[in-house]
Amino acid sequence: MDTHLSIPEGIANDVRRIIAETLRLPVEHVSLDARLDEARLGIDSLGLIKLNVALEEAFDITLPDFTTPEQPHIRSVGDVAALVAGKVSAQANGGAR
Amino acid sequence: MISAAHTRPEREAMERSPAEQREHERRVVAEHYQHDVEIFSMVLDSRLAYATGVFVRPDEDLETAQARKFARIQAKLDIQPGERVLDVGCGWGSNLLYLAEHTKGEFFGITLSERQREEAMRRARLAGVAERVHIDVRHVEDLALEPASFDVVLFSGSIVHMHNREEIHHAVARILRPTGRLLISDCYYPAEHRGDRESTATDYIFVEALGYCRLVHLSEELGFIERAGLDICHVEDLTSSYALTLERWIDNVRKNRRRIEAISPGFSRLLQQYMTVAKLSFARRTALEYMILATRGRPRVEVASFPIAPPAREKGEQ
Repeated sequence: MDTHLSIPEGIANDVRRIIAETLRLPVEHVSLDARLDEARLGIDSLGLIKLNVALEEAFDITLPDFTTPEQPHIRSVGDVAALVAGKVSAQANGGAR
Repeated sequence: MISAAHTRPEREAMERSPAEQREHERRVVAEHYQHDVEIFSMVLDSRLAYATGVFVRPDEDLETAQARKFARIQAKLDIQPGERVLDVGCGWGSNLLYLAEHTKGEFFGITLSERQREEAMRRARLAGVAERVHIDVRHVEDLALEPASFDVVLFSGSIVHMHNREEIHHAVARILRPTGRLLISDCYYPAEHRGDRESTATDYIFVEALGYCRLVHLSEELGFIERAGLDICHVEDLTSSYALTLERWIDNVRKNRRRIEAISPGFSRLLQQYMTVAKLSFARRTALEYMILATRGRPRVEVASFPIAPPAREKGEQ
């Protein structure tokens, strides 16, 4: 099952760009199926924290800590993008009420 | 006693002479605290305590937890009229002013940040205690104090910035009078090696965010205190309280991100990043937070009556 198909393209691209900037990598290296713990991305716990903060800042949302064991389902770039898309849409619905 | 393995910033500190390290701390530690107090007012409690509160329930708010901490420090120190209190690294005066407002002691503080001194003195005047509160911008190792001239020496979230720990404890013991009290509230490494102390996250928090930090084992600090001639009276673990305190601070950074960025671009990011590293470290107990009380000679406070604070004070009432 590929849940990444439902992520709005704008958000997916922004998330990929922010991850690439945080890790100082070309954006082509950051595909949606790349794993966060993959050696190729070179992301350590500080990198994950910086990413967390950069995404909160960019989308004006609150995210759970990626590095905690309570977040085992956030494994790939696509998982992050799906999480962000979910938070952004919850925020938009909340704002409309 | 096993000494904590030295981190990179510590190894660098050991290559400096004591005078060079003092200059280094003066410069790099002050930097963080020289940021606009307006920013810290958005993130911390109303008294600007930049150290852990005391939570007895995980759903409490920051103000309640910090009020309980102030009351607990007051109870542990049991300051008598006219007693002289020195707060080393007094910040914006949270403990110093609380104690000045709630006891009849005479209060002296030092900080490395001129802006912290100004704000603390402004608050002292507002609280009507300025005639009993004196604050200087000075490094602890530059204090030339009379032996046996103080009844209380306090370090709250500050001794972690000081490298020459052993010498500092000797100096503290020298300036304390008999029955004098030393109180430290700060961060320690567990004796059992957990977590990666050479990680980029460690470096980020110790150097990039906070200038200079040296974490030792609790047993090392207690050893320094004992060898300086003081008796350990009480040690309290506040590790889980610090994780909760940091969670509240991080939420406040989130709520005020735009306002913080307008004053100091990039600073909200630095705060949230270093506070998250710290929060996760305390949550995983790769770093520990303790409040230590020691006395010179016979303690003023009866240890048998611990917990010291009476129930009314424990609610964090003013």
